[in-house]
Amino acid sequence: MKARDAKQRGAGGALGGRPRWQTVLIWVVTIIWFAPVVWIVATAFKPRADVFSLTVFFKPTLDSLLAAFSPPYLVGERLWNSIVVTAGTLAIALPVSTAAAYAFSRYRFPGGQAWPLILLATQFLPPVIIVIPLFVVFKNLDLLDTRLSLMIVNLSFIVPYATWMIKGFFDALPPDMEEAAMIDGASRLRAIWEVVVPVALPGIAAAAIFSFVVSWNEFFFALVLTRDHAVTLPVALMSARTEQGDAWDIMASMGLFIIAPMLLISRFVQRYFVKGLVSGAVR
Amino acid sequence: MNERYLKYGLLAPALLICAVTLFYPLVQSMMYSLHDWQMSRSTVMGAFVGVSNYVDLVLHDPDFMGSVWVTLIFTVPSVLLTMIIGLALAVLLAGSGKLQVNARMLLVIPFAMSPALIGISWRFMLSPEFGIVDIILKHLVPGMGDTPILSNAAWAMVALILVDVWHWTPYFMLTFIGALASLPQETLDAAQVDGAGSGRIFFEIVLPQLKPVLAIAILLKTIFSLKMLDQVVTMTAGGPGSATETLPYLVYTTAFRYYDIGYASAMAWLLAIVMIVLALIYSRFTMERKP
Amino acid sequence: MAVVRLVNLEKRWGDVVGVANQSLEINDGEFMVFLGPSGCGKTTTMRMVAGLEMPSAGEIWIGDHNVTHALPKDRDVAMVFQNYGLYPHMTVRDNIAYPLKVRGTARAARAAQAEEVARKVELEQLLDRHPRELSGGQRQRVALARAIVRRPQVFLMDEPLSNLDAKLRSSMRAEIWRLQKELNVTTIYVTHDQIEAMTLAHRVAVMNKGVIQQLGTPEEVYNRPSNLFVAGFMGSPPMNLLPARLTDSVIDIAGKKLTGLANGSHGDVVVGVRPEDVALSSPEMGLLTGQVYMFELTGEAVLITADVQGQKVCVRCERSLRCEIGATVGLTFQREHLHVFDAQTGARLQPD
Repeated sequence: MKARDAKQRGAGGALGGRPRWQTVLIWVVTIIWFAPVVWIVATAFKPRADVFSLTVFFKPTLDSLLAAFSPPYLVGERLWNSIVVTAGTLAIALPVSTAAAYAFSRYRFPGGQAWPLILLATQFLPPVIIVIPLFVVFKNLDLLDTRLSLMIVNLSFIVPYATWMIKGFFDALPPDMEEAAMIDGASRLRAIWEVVVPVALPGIAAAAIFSFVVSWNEFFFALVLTRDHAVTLPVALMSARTEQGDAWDIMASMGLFIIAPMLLISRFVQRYFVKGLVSGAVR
Repeated sequence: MNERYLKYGLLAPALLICAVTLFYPLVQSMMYSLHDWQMSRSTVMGAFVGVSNYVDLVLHDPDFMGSVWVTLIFTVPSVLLTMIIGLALAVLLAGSGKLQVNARMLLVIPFAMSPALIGISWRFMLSPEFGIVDIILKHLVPGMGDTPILSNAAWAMVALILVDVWHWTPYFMLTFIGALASLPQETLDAAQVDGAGSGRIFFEIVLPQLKPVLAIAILLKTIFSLKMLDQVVTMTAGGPGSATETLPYLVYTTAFRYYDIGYASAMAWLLAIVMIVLALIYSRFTMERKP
Repeated sequence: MAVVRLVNLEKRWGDVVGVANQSLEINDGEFMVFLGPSGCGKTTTMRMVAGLEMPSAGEIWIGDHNVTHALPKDRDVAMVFQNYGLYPHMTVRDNIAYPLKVRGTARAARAAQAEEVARKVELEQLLDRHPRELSGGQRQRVALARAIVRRPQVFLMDEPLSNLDAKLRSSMRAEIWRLQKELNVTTIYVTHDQIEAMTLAHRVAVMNKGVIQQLGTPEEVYNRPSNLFVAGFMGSPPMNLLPARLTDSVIDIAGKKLTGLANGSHGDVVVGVRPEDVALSSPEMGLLTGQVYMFELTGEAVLITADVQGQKVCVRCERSLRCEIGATVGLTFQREHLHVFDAQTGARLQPD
């Protein structure tokens, strides 16, 4: 009997069907936990008056959303910045990390055992510590408030972690495949590209989803390094706090754009994003 | 010969990026921390002051000590609550039934949300007069006027902790579910036949076997709690007063509001040293468990 | 000490039948073995007796109690698992004493009883160790001790020896037999190994695809298999089974017509005879003839396989016998060692 049956019964040992109270509890917990998300999304569609009341039923309107696109909020531009920065980060991070992951997996380097942990340890540094020097450097290079600077900074924590994740996948693939290809006549590079990478795609996909989520949601570096032109969505949220009071409906609209990709790929997020992080903690 | 080029060639881009974006800033940051530099006054680094920044912080700066205290007040409850609720949810939602699978999928979404968005959203929901929390409270306890939550020092911290728990718990729940599934089913069967009820089985059989996973989880969550920053910026801005001014936030304001670069860097390094120690403990733990 | 009764017991998962309407009574103090290949339903049946699975239909009685829907902890049964099911974080002593702890026995009494039982299975030296420090055989004995310490009404054992190496298996087999005899507890033992069944059981229930094929003593099941499945399952090497026709008391088999071996007419049948019941002779003297196909030395005997008109017949011979491959030999056997089965249904026809 495998432990998979524990999943069916709950590790507490409940037999046969789940007791009624457990089912109720699952519903209650799920609803309470998820309700805030629903509330935020709903607020984006509420007419201004309803935003500040408890009305659950309302006439959905696109007013707030449309207002968000015009000055001074300019959600359209901010959205575009987020897209460009994230896409750029991914475009650079994935190939670079995959290559490095392969190198770490198949070759020996001085300090061997330590490297995977060093890679992982980069996730434990407080971002505040590197943002100060980077701010100075970008200021001197006149790169403040540019999308490029955000991409560079994102890479600082995405590349090590993606490398670590993908390395884990390569480790699980026996070297036989590329060796067979090389005996068949391919160069190692070709073998990697045509044989190894396709098989490691799930791992690379996991790293891609992780990188996407982290980059899309990134706030702090963008806050420090941008002012107008390169402002991304999460930072744009702050701009809805004006002297007249906080424009919650605008914020909810912006929030909707931030959260939309997560909702769309939620099934994959659970499988890949969390799995990538979970295997790190448990391993 | 070719292999050698390939070996380093594959690694080079990543190494270059890390060197530029990580190693160099770390070194520079250490440099700054040993100098006095008020960016508001000059664009060039000031004089070398050795460790006096560090000394000032630890011995003469009540704001710093206050912030350390605030960080602790935040970290300990957030870690404890995340572990306890995470375990409870893991037991509740483990299983391949449709209900549980979908519940897990929904619960993961708060985890995938930008912490900044979470901060702002909860700020909205907790605001007196407009916030849904306030409205619900008014319905439940008649006569309770506009309740200030984020403008009350104690309640602001409570809110910060609870929001962080709301954000992180799903991740640890999934970790624990994975750990639960790897427990040998026979051991649980044996306990049932031996006569133990569900509660006993959980506390005497399941939990002791989860100790290693729990230890790592506690370590990880502590590290994540220590460096938490986005929610403070968007939800409380360190306030009211300095009631929720965690260390990362203090570094942020010191560097980018007061432009005291040297001092802020020293502060950041003090925080980083604590976290590096924790990271070393983490690596010792995971190294031991490798076959 | 109790009678275990299964009444019309069934277990189904959707369309898949695990156990199909079984009724069975196990006597007080009896050692009952459920024998069969994987998937035959033996483990499922036992798990239903333990309370780890709920029946889809039917009842289970232990003694005077209908325990069909009772929780395992309320049934007073003890179980030994295939992978031992020990608690890795507890010492051997705590593992053994756990059933007592759960029932509220005081610490001193628990320790004393655990030690007494440990002595019975020769584990006194290892009481303070943890399972990971023990060998497979030692862990198995801890599992046994934990089952015994409670003096339950029923012992359940789920292939307890299958993870041990061959030598250990036979010595543990003897220990289990000795313990059960001494404690006289009703025991249900599940295995796919027919040697374990033969040596340990008072009665054997041979199962296949959720149905009990035959219930009887080891001798009955071995000497008078009630159908083709049981005939082929019991015995190593397995019984030789040859297609034939029975008409007017004449068996038409492998090109020969044999008289004086069976009565009546039946049409298509399968004739079975065990390798140890067949003897080699000169081709003229044999009831059947064939060419030597191969021979295998097993140490205590020689197994010679002869090709008889395309059928392979295995003969167990005295260990110094040698033959040439391809040589023609005769095969003889006696009427009382012949089994005749219906070719369609597999049911036993003769001897009645």
